[in-house]
Amino acid sequence: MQPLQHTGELIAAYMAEHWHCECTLEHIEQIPGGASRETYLVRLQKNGEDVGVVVRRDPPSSLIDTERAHEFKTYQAVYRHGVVPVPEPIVLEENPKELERPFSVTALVASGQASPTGLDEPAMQPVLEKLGAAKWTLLGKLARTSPDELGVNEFMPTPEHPAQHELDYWKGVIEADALSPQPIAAAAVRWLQRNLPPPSTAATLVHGDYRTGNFLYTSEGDITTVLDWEMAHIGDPLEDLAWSLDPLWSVDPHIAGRLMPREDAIGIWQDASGISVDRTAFKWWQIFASVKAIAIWISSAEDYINGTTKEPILALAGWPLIDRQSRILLDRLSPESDHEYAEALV
Amino acid sequence: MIPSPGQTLTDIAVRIATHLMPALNSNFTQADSGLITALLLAFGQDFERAIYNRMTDIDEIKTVCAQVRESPIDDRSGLPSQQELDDFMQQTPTTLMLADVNELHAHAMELLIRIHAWAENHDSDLDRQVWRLLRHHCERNKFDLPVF
Repeated sequence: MQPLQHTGELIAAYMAEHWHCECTLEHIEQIPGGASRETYLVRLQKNGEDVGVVVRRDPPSSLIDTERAHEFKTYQAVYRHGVVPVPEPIVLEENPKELERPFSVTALVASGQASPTGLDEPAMQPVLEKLGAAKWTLLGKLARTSPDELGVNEFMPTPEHPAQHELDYWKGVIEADALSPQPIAAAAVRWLQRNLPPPSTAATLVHGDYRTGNFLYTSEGDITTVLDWEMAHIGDPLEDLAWSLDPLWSVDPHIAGRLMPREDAIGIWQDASGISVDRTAFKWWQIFASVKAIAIWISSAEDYINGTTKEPILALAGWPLIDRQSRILLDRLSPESDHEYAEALV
Repeated sequence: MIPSPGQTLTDIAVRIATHLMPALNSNFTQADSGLITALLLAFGQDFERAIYNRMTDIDEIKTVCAQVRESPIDDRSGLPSQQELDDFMQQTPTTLMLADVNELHAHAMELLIRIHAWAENHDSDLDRQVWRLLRHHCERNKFDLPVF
């Protein structure tokens, strides 16, 4: 039996026990892009009914070191509240004996694709503005919802100074994992330390990786679900906004997330969140976004070299992406810049 | 013998993308092959230039170190010592194998980070000079790859 088919059979058997009913495998395929977990789309026959689920299994190593229970609880909280569409969480299995490694199961969202390059297709051009509006409206609504309303403060700590907290964490990742000195990242960290904003006035649930590629969109320009909450935490809402606008997520540095001009996205987010963006603090969070990204790329390079998984995404992230992210930071921090890779921050 | 490894790596990447990927029957294996193709393209671009780029970085950093070494500076706290600068400026890689060049390059970058941190607080001209050096470094090492 092929390994993939065997994995599918194990999942079907597990779900039969979980649902207390007959359950057989119809089809399984691995989904690309699951950098932090192995992701499988599984179609099952549950008491004669077609059911689709998505199984996310821990890999031996990944881009981001995250806690699976934390992510699953976040899905549960956001799904219960409904502020942002997420797949229905079904079960978290932490016992490795079932599928060799821990895994979670969510309902399959029937419509939509995640591919960032799919947005470049001519057929998508008429709906990009609508999709951009949906993207930053959802994020604004999340910023407007308190952690207490969502119930995430029951399992997430609320840092007294989110900016300091995040900087300390990601600076630590860079220091621990860098395989070679990173002079641009080091300069950016020093800049962040010198320009630390005051503690945030509002703490919200921060998705942590809110970008094009982490939501499913339809050809009509709707967002059907927001994925990949493994880096979610309570923090400053500007963190997600800055991350979503990082030039890395777009071919054109003037267009945020392959969708719309940055200032348009900020305006939509302000309307939806009811928060007026403090430009000084926002500049900090935008530099921070690139530093956090570099930290992730550095960590993935370390994982590729020293870890057990030789996933090509880890090597690619740890090499050309560090190069591109460094140029973005250089454009933003160097006193002499022609802003070829990133717009000036205002 | 392969006379042009950089070009050959690029040719292999193109071959995978144009001949093998279309025949793969799952989205996952196609995406995986796309990532491998991108990596091979990166190798192809870096193969010929890797030693040259690192040695050029080292030379440029030595120029900055010599300048710092000779400058009349009152407060040198945080800067590499005169001895460290002298030692580095006389160093060459043990061999021109990539691992040996990388070792000296890493040392050069560590010195540059300390000089840059000092310059930010004490010498705006030197700060600008380091940023220019970093831009040259980035441009030399830039990859020309599709944006995913």
